[in-house]
Amino acid sequence: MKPGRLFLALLLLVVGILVTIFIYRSMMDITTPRQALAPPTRTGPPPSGQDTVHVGVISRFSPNLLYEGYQPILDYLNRTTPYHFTLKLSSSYEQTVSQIERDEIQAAFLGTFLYLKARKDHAIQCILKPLNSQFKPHFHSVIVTRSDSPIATIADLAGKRLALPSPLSFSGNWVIHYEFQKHGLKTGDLDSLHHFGFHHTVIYQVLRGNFDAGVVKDRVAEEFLDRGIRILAASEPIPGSPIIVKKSLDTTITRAIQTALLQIDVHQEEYRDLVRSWDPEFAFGFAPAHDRDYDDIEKKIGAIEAVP
Amino acid sequence: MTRLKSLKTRMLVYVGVLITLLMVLISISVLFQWRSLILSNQRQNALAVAQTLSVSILDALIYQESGLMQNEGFVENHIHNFLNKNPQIKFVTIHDQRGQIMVRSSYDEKESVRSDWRHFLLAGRQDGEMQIYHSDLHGWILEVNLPLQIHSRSWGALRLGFDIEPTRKKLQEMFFLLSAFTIITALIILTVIYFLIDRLTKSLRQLVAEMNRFDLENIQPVEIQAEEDEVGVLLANFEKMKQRLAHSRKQLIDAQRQIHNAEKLASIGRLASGVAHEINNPLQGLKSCLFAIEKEPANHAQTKSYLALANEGLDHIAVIVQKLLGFSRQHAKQITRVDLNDAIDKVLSLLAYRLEKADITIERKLDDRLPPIEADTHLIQEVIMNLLLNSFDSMEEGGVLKIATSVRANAVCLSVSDSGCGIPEQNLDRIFDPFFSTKEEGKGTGLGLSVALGIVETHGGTITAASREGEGTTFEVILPLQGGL
Repeated sequence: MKPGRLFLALLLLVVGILVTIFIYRSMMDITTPRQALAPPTRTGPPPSGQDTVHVGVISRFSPNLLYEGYQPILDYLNRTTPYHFTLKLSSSYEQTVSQIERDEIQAAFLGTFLYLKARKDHAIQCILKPLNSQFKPHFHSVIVTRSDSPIATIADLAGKRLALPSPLSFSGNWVIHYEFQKHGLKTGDLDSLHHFGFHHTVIYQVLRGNFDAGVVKDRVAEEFLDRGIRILAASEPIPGSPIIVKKSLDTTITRAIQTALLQIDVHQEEYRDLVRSWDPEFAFGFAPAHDRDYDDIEKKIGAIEAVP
Repeated sequence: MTRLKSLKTRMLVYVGVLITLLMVLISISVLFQWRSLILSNQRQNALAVAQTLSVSILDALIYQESGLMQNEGFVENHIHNFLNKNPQIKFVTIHDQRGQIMVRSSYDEKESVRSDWRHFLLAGRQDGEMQIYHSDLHGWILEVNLPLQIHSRSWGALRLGFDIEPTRKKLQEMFFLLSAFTIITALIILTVIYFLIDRLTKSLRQLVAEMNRFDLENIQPVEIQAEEDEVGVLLANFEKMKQRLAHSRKQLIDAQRQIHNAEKLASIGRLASGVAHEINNPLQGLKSCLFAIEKEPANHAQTKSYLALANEGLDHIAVIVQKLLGFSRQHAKQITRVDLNDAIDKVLSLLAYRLEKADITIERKLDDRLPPIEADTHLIQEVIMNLLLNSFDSMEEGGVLKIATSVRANAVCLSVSDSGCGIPEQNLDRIFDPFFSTKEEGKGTGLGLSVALGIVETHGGTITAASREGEGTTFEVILPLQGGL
């Protein structure tokens, strides 16, 4: 072979080896740089001097679901009012009432039944109630069974196992003290009766077959209609679970809350996007609420004591 | 043609280099595509695992905060169990909202904690942040940072370190596997190409061999099995060309024969006056003898004497006619042992009258040791005749014509020089062309030297001319001892 060709061949060989080494090193270097984070423009704690309103919520759902569904509402209030709102959870319905009593919270998302009880002993007022999908300020309590359950009427619940949410929830009390009386049933006719902490837990117990029927809010039951749950019966329209404030709360704050939440109109695109991450109970906006709105329902179940 | 410049080698090199480069490029592309997919998959898996863990950690933190669960080491136990079931995770740390470590998987190790935790926590990056780096403590790590956060509410962040060394080893294996695959595939392709090209060029090589075998004297049909491709077309055209060449050669031979005959007739014509004179002298003697015999028919002694003289004259005429016939007759080519000196003498005898009449001096320097050559006597005489006539025509009265022979290695040399007008230099390389002549019209055909060259070449010899204008010309003929006929 001529020297020129030999040199060219060697040169190609060396270039090939160098390229191979380069490719190998590039392939094996999987380091990715750490992204430098700029300081955020928005900080977590409220600015100094800003009023903080602690908002309670009854433990109708598990804490993480409550944060998922209620924290965005407070984020919205933080953005649209000059006040700072923080969520304060409780481990039970009663604890929320205690928080009001100890002034640990100045506002709260209460259940209808608990509100009726609490307003007797505490200086609270309801200011807003959520709209349902028909844009009415009502909700329904529903009796659910598994889709494949043979139970067809409330009367069929005799001898069955029934799951209920908190003893202080409206739904449980409505069935036991209203619907059962209408259908000539007593709790003693049931095989068993059990209260669970959260509405979702009631559904899960029915789905698992541990209970033959359960009672929950319609908003929770609707989540499971295509997942093996059937609605057996529904209550008459009940005034929605109210947002209450302590009467001692600065009225400007109360008005700020009302103004901010009442201006939500889900017919508008921007608000539809806003409420998408909210708890479905509040996905259709709010209506103003007054204590008198709940007088009728109070009369209906006024004499009823919560089931122990 | 060297092997490196052969069509086969060049095609192999060009196609081989092109295919190899393409394969290398494709392999590199595939390699980095796989790398990207593997790393992307690894990141997604790591993020999914981290998000799964973050859900349970977040629930635990929220439940503890809500008082639904006592803080009795649930998170630590959960992480401990999680690490046991996921050995690819090297470390887990949980940071509070201030960035301080609340829970860590191992307290006897110091993981590097980023200095900008506060920024990360407040940035609220729901999709988390990932980074791959090498640490002295854990080796190659894919670190995932996830905020423990629901909307704007933050409980801190989760930090997980995944062992990514197995992924690097997988990438390494893939590199070597694909490299080996590329090399082996390239070699296989090159081998296949080599044999394909060899097959394609085989018919070309056969055609070349056939062309080398080609002999105008003995044209044979092509023996190659022609394919229906370009080479097949080439082969068919080669066969046609051979037929055309054979036909042309036959025409050329016929033309040469006609030229030869024409020149010979011309030479005879030019000899005619000399021959006539040669015959005329004995005829005059015969006439005188017959006159004397007629005058004195009774004088028997005189009659006898004159008849002898007449007979001698007739013999002389017969010899001359025999020579002329011998020159002019068509002969089949016949190779014999020819004495060149003898051939020169015979031709000179035919030209003797013309030379003498033109007062041309002949200087003969014939080598007595000259060996015989294998040649056709009549053709060699024709060469000598043409050369001598050409010299004769170039000289005026009183010229000198030198004829010499000598011995060369395996050859003999004939030299004919004249003191004629010479040939202009510009015409010197054209004098052997057919019909080229500088003589006056009617004095020459322009074919003599051309015929002489043809005869010499068919005998495997050469003929050259050297001339100086006004001084004369010398022709030198070299004839091999073993003729080429």
